Amino acid sequence: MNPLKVGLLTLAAFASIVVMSLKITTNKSGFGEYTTYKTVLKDASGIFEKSSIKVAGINAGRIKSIELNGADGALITFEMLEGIKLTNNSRLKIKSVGFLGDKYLDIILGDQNADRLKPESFVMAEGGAGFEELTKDAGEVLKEVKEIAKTIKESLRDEQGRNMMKEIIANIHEMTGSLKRLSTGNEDKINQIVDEVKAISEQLAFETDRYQKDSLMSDLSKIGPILDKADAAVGDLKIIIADLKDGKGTVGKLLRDDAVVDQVSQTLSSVNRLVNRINNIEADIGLSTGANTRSGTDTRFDLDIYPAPERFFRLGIVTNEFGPQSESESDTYTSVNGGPESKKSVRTVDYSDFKFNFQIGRRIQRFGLRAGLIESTGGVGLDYFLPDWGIRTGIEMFDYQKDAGPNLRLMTEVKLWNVLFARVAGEDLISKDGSQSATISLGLRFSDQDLAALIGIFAR
Amino acid sequence: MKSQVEKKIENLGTGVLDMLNGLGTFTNYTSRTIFWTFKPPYRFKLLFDQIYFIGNKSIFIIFLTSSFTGAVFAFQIYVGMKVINADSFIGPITMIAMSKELAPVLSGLVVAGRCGAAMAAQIGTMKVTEQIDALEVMGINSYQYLAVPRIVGATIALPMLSAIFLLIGYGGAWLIGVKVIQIDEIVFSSKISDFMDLGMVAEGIIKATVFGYLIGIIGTYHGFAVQGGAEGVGKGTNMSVVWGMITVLVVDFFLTSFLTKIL
Amino acid sequence: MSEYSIEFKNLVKKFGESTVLNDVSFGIHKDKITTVLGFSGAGKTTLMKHILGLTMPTSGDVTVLGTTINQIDELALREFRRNFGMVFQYAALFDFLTSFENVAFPLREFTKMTEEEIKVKVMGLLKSVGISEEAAFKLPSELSGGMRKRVGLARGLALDPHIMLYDEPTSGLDPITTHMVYDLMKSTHYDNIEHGFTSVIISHDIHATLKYSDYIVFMEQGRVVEHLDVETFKKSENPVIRRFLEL
Repeated sequence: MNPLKVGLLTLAAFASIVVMSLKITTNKSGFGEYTTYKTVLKDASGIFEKSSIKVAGINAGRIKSIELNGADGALITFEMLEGIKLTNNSRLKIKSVGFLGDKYLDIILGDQNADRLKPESFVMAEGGAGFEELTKDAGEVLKEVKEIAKTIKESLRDEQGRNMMKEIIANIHEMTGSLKRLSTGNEDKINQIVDEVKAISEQLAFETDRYQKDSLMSDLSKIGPILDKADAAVGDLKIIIADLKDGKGTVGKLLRDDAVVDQVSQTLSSVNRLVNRINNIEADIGLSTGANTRSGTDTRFDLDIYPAPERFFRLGIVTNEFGPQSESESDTYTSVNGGPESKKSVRTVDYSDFKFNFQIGRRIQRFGLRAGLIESTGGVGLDYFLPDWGIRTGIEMFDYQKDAGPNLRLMTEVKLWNVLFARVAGEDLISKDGSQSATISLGLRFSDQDLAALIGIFAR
Repeated sequence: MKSQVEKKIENLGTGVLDMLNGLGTFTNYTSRTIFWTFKPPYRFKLLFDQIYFIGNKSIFIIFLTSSFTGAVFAFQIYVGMKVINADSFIGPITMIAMSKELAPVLSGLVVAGRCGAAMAAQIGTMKVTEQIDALEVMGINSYQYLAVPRIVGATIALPMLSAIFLLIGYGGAWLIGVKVIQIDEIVFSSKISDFMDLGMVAEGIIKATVFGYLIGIIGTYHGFAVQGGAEGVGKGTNMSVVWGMITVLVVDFFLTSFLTKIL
Repeated sequence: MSEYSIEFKNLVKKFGESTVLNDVSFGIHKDKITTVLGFSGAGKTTLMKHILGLTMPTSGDVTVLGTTINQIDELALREFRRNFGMVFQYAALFDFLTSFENVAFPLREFTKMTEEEIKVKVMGLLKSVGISEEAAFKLPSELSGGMRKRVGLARGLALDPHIMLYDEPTSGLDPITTHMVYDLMKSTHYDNIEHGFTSVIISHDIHATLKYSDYIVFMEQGRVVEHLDVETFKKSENPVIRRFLEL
């Protein structure tokens, strides 16, 4: 029995060690590969070997060694987790934990797009903001306060000084009274002003921090080389302006010669008119694909160009397995053993893979009338638009054949959502050979505004 | 006729010689036990019996000691830290003190008092009733049979007790810190991991191991050194406890300075 | 081949300034019961410790069964001690083991006997010394003085020793129990004499000694005064012995 109980004790002891170890190692930089770097600090007091190094308050490394580096200060060798990328912009600062002033090193990573620092490289260190600094500053402030107090004391020694003090106090009293009256009832406005000032100061702080990406100062720091180039450009510009003043070159003539200026002005007007006209042209693109109940797939592309609101041209390509076809008949004559010839006729029908639309149309209110090539055959079409409902319905007649008659198509297109539409069409509705069928398609239709928006996105 | 001064000097000299003699005997005893530890037969049953006696049987008192120590220490730290508004440091300060000092030392003192005394009493009684002679006559080395399992058992059991002490002490500190003083639980735990590292826990475990060994050696030594009857057993038991506790406290000092450098 | 199983040659033992054994030279006869008599402080127990090698002489030699005890190393001595069985003054039973476990102890330590075999032998030994089955599973603290001595005797016999030592075996016992123990010692001696068995008794009890012993060694102040067979001892004119005999 004893070995079992001893085993339980051992288990309890191991569990205790594991639990405490886990408690201790949360927030630690943990296991992993480390990279060694160095830095030099003017004052490393409060920093010890194995002190933590934090990034954004999270433990990310530790100090390996601290050595004296001659007159420069203390050479700190530290290691950071591999996953932390230090760059030339990274900075190291001593910070304090709480009031008791326990110190640690804090790293600001800087611009992560820059190249990674090589191992054993130096990281720039900045002065700390620990409590030593604070107390040092406080000491200086206190010194000044002491001097001020001394001055005040001396000034209060005589009657004149005291009277002046009384006056000052009275004025301050009046001023605070006015301030109080002002602030009473205006708290909201004052709070708003304070918030705005805070936002402005934060923004200012950001903009003036040259290590912050996209800040004004960081951008300004890039201006140096640009300024040099600008300087050279200004020199060249001076020369050019001198020539212009003398009427040299085309531009010079333009500036000095009135006749040339008139001609240019006329040309610009014509161009302007042309551009305006082009700007007024609208387009509409439709692309759909579907299936026919008899013949398989039906894919269409149509481009409607509106040079004016009432006129349009339609260009398009269609692929399907019905509709216009070309027929050819070939006769074959054969004779057997020099006997009478027999004739064998073979009729071949080719369905074209690609068919083209080219129509001219006119819009009259909600109706659209068009005529021209419909699926590579002549035809006419009539459409009716219900834009509020997103519906267009139409009828086409084309592909007249001697024995089959024309193909009468009735179609309805419904806008489903945004640019998505569905179309249902009945084909060959008046066919005598019973080849009526239906086509159901889904497609995208882009209006002129849609196209403008798309082009704008792509241009960006 | 010797004068008072001469007698005093003589007594002092005798005392020093006795102490040196005792130290020599102790060293000789220690070396013999180390020798017999590694000589077969290895008596694992006796070893488990001793670990059970020193470890399992001490759990209750360790539980009491550690839970109250953790709670009281946390409370006292709170009283001090409140003055400077740093009561969130209760967790780390308590746990650092527990892991590095309180767990090994208090466990050592408990085991020295409880088990060191028992070892000296058991072996001393066997000595005065000739049971040790009976073992020797049978050809069994009494150090190997009696001392080694106790020494090794204490060396193994004390670090385990220290680890359990640490965990229960943490529980006591947590109870006071989080539930009574109402420190935020996350703050309590996160500050612990900010200021502690595994080296501190290791330091406590190493100390406990050394203390366990010393308590075993001292307890068994005083058992074997018993002379006379019941009175001798009583004296031996008393010496075992006193020297065990003193040794734990003194060695703690030297171990702390040594381990702080290497861990 | 020596007639003695144990021989002392010029044995001297000093503890600091005090000389406990002073040039002791004699031999203990093989296969005989020899009693060492003497007043308290005569050096009897110290002499016995020399036989076992528990104490080493200041000078001189102790030879047991042809082996000089004070010249062999500790490990060899421990092995050699299996030739001995001993009954201590107060039995020296292990108080954390029952009677059965006490007797089984040396068998478990030094033999490869199975538990069943050990049980058979131990119960046989306990029966031979008059310990009931019920008493076999009691702790020593639950037994009487006489019972403890008998269990001690059974333990001493467990490893079939060649030399049995008794250190004041009847100390503290009533006369009836004393004689019972002596009867047991004598019967044990003669039961085991076939493979060589020497009994050495340290005692103060002159009457039992004269009744049960073959030889008597009389010691006084660390010296052997007389080493005689019982009959010759009874007729000794030595004034110290005469005083002892008249007690």
